[in-house]
Amino acid sequence: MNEQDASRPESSDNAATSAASSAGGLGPAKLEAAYEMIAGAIDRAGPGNEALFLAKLGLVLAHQAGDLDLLARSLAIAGQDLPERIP
Amino acid sequence: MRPAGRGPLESLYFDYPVFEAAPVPTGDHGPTMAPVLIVGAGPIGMMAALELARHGTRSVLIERKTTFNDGSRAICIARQSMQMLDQVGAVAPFLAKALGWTRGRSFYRGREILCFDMPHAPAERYLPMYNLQQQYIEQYLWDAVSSSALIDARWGTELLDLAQGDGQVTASLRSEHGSYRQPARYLLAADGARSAVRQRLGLRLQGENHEGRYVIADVQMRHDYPTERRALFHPDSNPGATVLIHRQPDDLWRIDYQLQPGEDPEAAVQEAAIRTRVGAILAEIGHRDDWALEWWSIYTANTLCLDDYRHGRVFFIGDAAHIVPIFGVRGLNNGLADAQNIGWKLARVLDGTSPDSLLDSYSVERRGATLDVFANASRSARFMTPPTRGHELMRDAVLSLSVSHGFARELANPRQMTPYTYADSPLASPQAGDDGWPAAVGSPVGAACLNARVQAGSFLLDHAGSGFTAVLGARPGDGPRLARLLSQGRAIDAAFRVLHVHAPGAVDVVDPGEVTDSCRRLVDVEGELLSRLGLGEGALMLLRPDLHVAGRWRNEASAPWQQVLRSALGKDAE
Repeated sequence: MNEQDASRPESSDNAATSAASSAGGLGPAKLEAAYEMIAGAIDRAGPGNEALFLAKLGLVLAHQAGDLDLLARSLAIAGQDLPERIP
Repeated sequence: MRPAGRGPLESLYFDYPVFEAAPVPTGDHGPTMAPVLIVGAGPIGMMAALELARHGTRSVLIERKTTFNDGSRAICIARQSMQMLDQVGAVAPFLAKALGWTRGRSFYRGREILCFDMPHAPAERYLPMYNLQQQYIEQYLWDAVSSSALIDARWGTELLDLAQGDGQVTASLRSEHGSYRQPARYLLAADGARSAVRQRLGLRLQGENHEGRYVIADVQMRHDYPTERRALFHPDSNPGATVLIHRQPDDLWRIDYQLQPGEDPEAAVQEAAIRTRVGAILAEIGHRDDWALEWWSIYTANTLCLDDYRHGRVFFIGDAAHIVPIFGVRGLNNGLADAQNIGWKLARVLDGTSPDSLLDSYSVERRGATLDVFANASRSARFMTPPTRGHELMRDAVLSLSVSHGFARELANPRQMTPYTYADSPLASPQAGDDGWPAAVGSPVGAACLNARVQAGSFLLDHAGSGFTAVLGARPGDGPRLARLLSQGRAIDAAFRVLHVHAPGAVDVVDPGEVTDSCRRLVDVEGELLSRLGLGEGALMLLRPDLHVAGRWRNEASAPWQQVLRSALGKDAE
């Protein structure tokens, strides 16, 4: 808990949140569509290939975005609140 | 199912009445023709009988059982349903007993990720949602049914068969006193998910079964928590599965929990297994004291409906017509709307106001509402019980992101259903459209009308009549105009009513002598008819008997409202 808090100070959380909310800016309907599209793509990749598929997706999106800082902020967001780190 | 040692009707909190089986009707020529025969006296059948009675139409209401439905079924009554109960004069005991609520909270691995409030405003008479056990819903509807002289209720009476022809339906009925044939002009099948009428007609529900099974359990306990819907995702007490918790009157709590992946349904519904899992869930939400198990059942989400809700002179309403997932709380609520929709239309056809073709609009309007529920409930069912690995991963991604990020919380918001808009109804005529009425303001054509506060603590919709209601924004010197509107309207619909809406302080523009039961003067005390509904001076809204908007115009003088009224009653153009 303490370790987690130290790695996730209030300020970087806010910065990460604003990056996720405003820089993406898909809006609710398109975000919902993205949810469905990715869910379907994971199913098509098949049970043995989920992790590989999602790793490729991350790399493709990073390449398309062309912004390492954005990638770093996005990785921080995705790394928060993973189950084993929630007491 | 109830705990070992308790009979099916031995409830911890509700005394089931037992009704005597109805005798075989006697008379010189046997049973007389019923305008409407309603099969099934659950909440939907009783609502249909009450709606018909509101319009002065008699009905015969039969029920195979001799008491109410056992166990716990529906518990959520939506605002629109409370309005319907109000219209049939039955809402008072519901308001006195039910627990109203607006808020829901979602938790992920024990942490709150979302708190949402359903839309509410002081201009609405009723809250967005009320919780009440179905036993009470049936009791209060029965109290209204049994005091109506227009409803001939027959308990312990079973439908064996039916035949259609010569402008009538003939039902073969049987009670413990004997069998007889009951003729009726029309028949409403309100006999539930296993409808005998549907089986006799050889009809099948079509649609999909969803993944994931839920146990539904009611427990009685003293537990201090507001009336809010709680959803627990990945709780410690039910790893990998979801839990929903609702508060009900009489210290009853509804616990819905999803079976864990790979869990055997037969083992899961054994009493010991129920007690273990429910006990763990209650411990997780902080309940340490005693609790008593009332009832439980197992459930799988389905989206199933008939292709057509009309078959000749037979109409299907409620679960007999459609099965919807519980997550959208539209099973009971859509059934009540079915009953109201077919009720006012049958009354108009039977009293000669409208042709039989008016009844064709029932299936279009209400099946449309069912399909809309399917779309929305499927969305929430997909979130509650993800159907594929991809959906499961994405759902869990949203839950994990929602702990710290608002953008993801929108995807976790269940967004309760709003009443369906009859945009594609055959009753909607092109002239019903707006003459420049801003589309975003108020209630568009086909929508259920919003409410507004008027004088003396009353609300706009309290004043609507049993027929079509014109809501007119008053202008000075309106006397002759009112008289003309009223006489033209009543020539088309005998129950036509005008609500003449005045701005505060401008109440002297009409002679008080002109105020009658068919023409009421309202004062827009809070300015809500103007601000919320957009009803300015000279504007006209035309409401159907079910309080959906049939048409609206900024300027009554040039509005083709008579034609729209005729269309909404299924009458041919003149």
